[in-house]
Order: sequence, then structure tokens, then C-alpha cells
Amino acid sequence: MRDKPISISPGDSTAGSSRTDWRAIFDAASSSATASQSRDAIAQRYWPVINAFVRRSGVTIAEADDVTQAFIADVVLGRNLLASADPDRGRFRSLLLTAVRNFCLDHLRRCTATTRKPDGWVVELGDAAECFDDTSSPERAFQVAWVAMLIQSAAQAVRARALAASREAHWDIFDRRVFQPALTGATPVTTEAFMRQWSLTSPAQVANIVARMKRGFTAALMAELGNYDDDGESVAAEVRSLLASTGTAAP
Amino acid sequence: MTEIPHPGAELLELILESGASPAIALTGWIAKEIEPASTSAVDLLVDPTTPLDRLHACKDAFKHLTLEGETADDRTIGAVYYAASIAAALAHHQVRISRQSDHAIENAFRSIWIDEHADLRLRNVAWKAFFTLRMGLAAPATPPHP
Repeated sequence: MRDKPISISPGDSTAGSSRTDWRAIFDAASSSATASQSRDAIAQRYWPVINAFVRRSGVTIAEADDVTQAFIADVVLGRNLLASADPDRGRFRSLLLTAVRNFCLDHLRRCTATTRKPDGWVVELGDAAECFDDTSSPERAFQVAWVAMLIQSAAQAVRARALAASREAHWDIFDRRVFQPALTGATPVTTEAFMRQWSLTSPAQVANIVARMKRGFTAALMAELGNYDDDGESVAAEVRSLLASTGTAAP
Repeated sequence: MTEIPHPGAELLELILESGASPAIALTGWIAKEIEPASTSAVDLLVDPTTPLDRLHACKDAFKHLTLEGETADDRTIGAVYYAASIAAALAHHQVRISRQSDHAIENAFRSIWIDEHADLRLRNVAWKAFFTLRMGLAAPATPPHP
């Protein structure tokens, strides 16, 4: 089954979805004057990623938001997961995934430990654990949501930069030629249509704008990835890892 | 079961396509706009089956990059691929798609084939185009691309 298209609205920038880097994570874990603000921003930023995992992990839809909220309050903020985040010890993505995985497993164990089936026997703990093998959907849902988060942040940055430079045409051409087709399967708008709409004089202009915007978007996306790896050379490895974990073979 | 790529995969792959050189990546993305199946600008230009209208489009797009490139590297590589597009039309189709003087074109081709950092296939195209021009084997310049 094809994944539901990622819902991204680069124009809907909010404080919670602004870029978060290791500095913000360190700040959130500290007792600085801005720590509370950083914690709120981080909670908002990672909510969709955590929620994506929770929804696929055997928790009922009705419970999913509560479990997500509980994880953020108890683990991310309460037990100060952020304080144990360390760029030298690996990716924040891995840390968060492990934490939410364990949290959901504990949650399901608590539920199943008191649940009896109609014939009277207690549900085995293994039933819950089966949700968490390497190829299970919660893992993939988490990774897909993570990619969506990165893409959304990068798109917001690129769009903001284009509009600030009075290059609405550049954003529009990138958006309808590359971005939306990649995310939603929409048919790319033709060169001729862009030339008419934006009074461009040659296909060469459109080709150059597309290429330039791809470069800008790539740089923004690499910056987003760099926030988690903090090592430029490992960005490509991180991309391959994300592609593999979301079921896509890297070219 | 084969997984279907998730919607963000194509955008993530832009990072892998960008490689080590931002300017080279740019030429690859321009080539892809002209010929979606192309894997790089060099591959498109050295392929003898690339149609003449595509080479015209390459020439126009790389000329634009030469004039409007964001960085000095962009403009420099734009000039190289602009000349290479003209060379490809001469080498593969024996057609001249530039109205510049023989002297200017030959100099551009020479600078490509003596460039040790350039792709060897591109250098060979430049040499073949130089030879075609010198021997008078090329059809005259065609009207500007519409």
C-alpha cells in the first residue's frame, strides 16, 4: 500500500515547527531562562513523529494522543531524556526512537498484564512485543514522520528565503514542478505554463530556476540533517539510513 | 513484498545527487530538466543519440548559467558546458548551433580538451568537434532555437 502523502504546508510556519538543533536540545535540558521555551518548541516539533509511532504500536486511536502526551511529559521532559542526548553518542533520532519504543512496550505490558481474554487466560507479553520487530510498521511510521518533519522544516526555510528575496516565481516553480509532485504525485506543471504565468522568456530560465531551487532545498535539508548528526560527512550516510528505514533503496 | 517508496524519498535523494560539487550538481539538475532520463550533464552531452533539439536546449540553459549563475563556480562551469553543448552538436550531428566565430569556438573546444580535470569523454567530444570544424564537415549555423 502506498503511504498517505505527507501533509506539508510550508506556509503554515509556527514556532513549534521551526528548526531545532542541538543547541535547542541542550538549552531545553538546562536551567537557563529560555529552557521552558525550548522544551515547548521541542515537544511541538517531535509530537507528530512520536504520535506516528504510537498510533501504529497497538495503542487504540483514542488512546494515542494521551500516550503521546504522556511520553512527552514523562520521558522527554520529566525524566529529562534531553539531558542524555549527546551528539557524540549517536543520533537524536535513534535516542528518541528507542525511548518511545520502550515507553510503548511498557504501556502495552501494563495493559496486557491485567487483560484477560474471554476464556480466562492472560494475554502473553509476547503479543505486545510482536509489534516491535525490525520490520514493524511503528518503526517505519516513525521514520516516515521524521523525514516529513525534516522536509517540512527545509521547505519552510527555502520558501521564506525566496519570498524575502522577492522570488515568488522561484518558489512557485520549485513547488509545482518538484516539491508537490514528489510529495503528492501531482503532475508537474509544464515549462510553457510557467513561462506564461511568470513572463519568462525561455525554457532555459525555467531549467535554471528549478536547478537553483533544488540546490537551495538540498542545502536546507542538509542543514536539518546536520542538526542531528553535526557531522557533514555523515549526512549522506544518514540519508541512506533514512531511505533504508523507510523502505526505499538508495540510488 | 516490495515496499513502495515513501513520498519524501525523491526529495531526500536530492542530497545524494548533489555529491561533492554544488556546481556539478546544478548542471545535472539542468540536464534533467531538458532530458528527464539523463543521469548527468556529461552523460547527456557525450551520448551520440541525444537529439539536436536537446543539445540546443542545453546550449541555451548553460549559456543562461554562464550569465546568471549564482557563484563564480557556477558561471565557470556554465561556460564549459555551453561550449560542450556546441561541441556535442558538431561531434554527433555535424551541425553548428552557434554563430560565434570559428576562432572563439575553437578556443573554447581547446580549453576543454586540455583540461585534465574534465571528464575524458567530454574532452574527446571537444576534440572531435574541433576536428569536424577544422575539416569543414559541419553544416552551417542553424537559426536560433525557438
